[in-house]
Amino acid sequence: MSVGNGVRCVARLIEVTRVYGAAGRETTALRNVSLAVHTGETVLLLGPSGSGKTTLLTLMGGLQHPTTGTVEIFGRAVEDYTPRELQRIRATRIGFVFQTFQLLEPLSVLDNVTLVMKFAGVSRSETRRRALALLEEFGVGELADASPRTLSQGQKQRVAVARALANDAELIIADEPTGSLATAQGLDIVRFLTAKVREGNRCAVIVSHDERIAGYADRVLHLEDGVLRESGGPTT
Amino acid sequence: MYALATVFDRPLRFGLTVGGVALCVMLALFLQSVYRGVADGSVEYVRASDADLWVLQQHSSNILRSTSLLTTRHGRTLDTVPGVADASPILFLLAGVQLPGNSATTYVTGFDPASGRGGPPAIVRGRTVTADGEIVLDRSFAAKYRLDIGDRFPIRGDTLTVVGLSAGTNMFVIQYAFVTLRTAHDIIGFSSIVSAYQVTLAPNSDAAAVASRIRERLPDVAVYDRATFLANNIREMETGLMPLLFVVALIGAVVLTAILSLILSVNVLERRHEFAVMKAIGAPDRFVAGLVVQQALAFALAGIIVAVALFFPLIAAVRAIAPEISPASSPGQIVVAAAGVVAISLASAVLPNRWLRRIYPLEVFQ
Repeated sequence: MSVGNGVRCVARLIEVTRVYGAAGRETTALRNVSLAVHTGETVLLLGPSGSGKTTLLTLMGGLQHPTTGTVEIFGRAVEDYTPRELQRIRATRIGFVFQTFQLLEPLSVLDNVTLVMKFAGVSRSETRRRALALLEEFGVGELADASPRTLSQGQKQRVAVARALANDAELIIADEPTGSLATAQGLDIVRFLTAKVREGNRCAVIVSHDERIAGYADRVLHLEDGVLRESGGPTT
Repeated sequence: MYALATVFDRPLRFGLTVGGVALCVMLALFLQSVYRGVADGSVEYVRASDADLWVLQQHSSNILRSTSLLTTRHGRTLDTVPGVADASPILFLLAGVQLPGNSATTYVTGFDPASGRGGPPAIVRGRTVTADGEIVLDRSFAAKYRLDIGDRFPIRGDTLTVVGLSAGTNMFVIQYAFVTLRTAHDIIGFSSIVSAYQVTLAPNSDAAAVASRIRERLPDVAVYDRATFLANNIREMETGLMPLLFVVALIGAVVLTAILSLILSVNVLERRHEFAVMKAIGAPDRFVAGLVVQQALAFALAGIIVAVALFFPLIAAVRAIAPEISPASSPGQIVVAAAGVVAISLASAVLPNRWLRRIYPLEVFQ
């Protein structure tokens, strides 16, 4: 959905509530949350542990469905996608950066990046070329053949971000991307991500409890006990 | 690449699993080779015969597991049947022998050296029997009891001279030995008994018509053409041996399936988080399932290679230690065993793939 100036709404939550647990022992992770994320913006979601940040991310990533309300990604409600379509969207249009990097240790750095391109159906020669270019861009090109086990935390996170961007994803979902890093390294990663968002036709939603990165975001949202508040404005 | 990388990531486990697979493949190869060896040894005698018809006592259908008693009178009658060119008598008897430090049993076959019919199908050393008092032994029997050409062979109070060693005459549990019909009669103590006649037809005679005439003249006999008689003996051999081999092979297959399923399941559960990551970042279901299949095939193929490399030394060792087993191997057996193991490895991927389906991408965020 275009909202003018070539800006598109990539993901939207409309009055979303997510409840976990069996009847009588329910936990409400999100309460009536509404939010829209557009191309060209980096949205930072701040909140303490257990506030529902990760639930919001996974809903946006099409990894689960809301209990009530609607989650739209790329203009369609998540419920309207088949599991196969959602898998395809995660492979081609969404890039994930996980809290503890989640690199596949049996694979080399290069193979970690090419793997997602393989999921997206990119040809073998192209995956290698693109992955090497990305790794170079992120300053870890010389580590292409290394095992992730041998990398520092900062290097791992750079590879993880390269993997998330490998398929030119339109929506970057980053769960505590600075959580395992020293301050300077963490800020570096966020700077990388936000620069990538600005130069491409994409957006990023970053979940964190680290307020130091707020300066890099276009919008800062606060989530507490499943309720969303926007710093200085509405949440939609 | 991920499948192989994870397989090689645990070298000890990989080695033990491949060892287990290799043992099962070797078991399959060994059973096949024993079966082939026994099958060849059991029916080669019949297969090699050029007789057109076999005549046995009525209700006897084979020479492996049925008793047939005829007399020399039957032979004289057969000679008068139109279309019969020759009727060569054979006498089969089980004879216990006392060798230095060992007792043994052999399937003594008395035949007419003049016609040569009913004699050893193949001589590998020495010569065939030409006179009374001589004996040809199966080569594995001779190896087992350390007998050679020129040795004396005591049998039921008589002593024969070993003049040759034969092949295709090892039935695994017992081996053929060949003597003249007269020597066989001396051993058994009756001079008019025979077990069967191998009949050769006169030129341009019809086998079915001659068989019919024989039945008319000798109502107490059974007559078989060559193909039927060979089929009877093969069936008899298979019904005696196949159930045992089948059970052993089945147990091997079940054990192999269980080992592979277990190892592959452990691999999946150990790397549960990595599979969840792959699912989260968009791995197609068939890609993830394919990883387990690739791992199963890697174990299977490595096991097959190790098994084939070790199988031939094993066969050589078996032949040296227990010559009577006489395993016979062929490339076809290896192909069959390999195909079986590949099929088992594919079946083994079913259970771990069920575990895989229960791994959810959301687990990455926990």
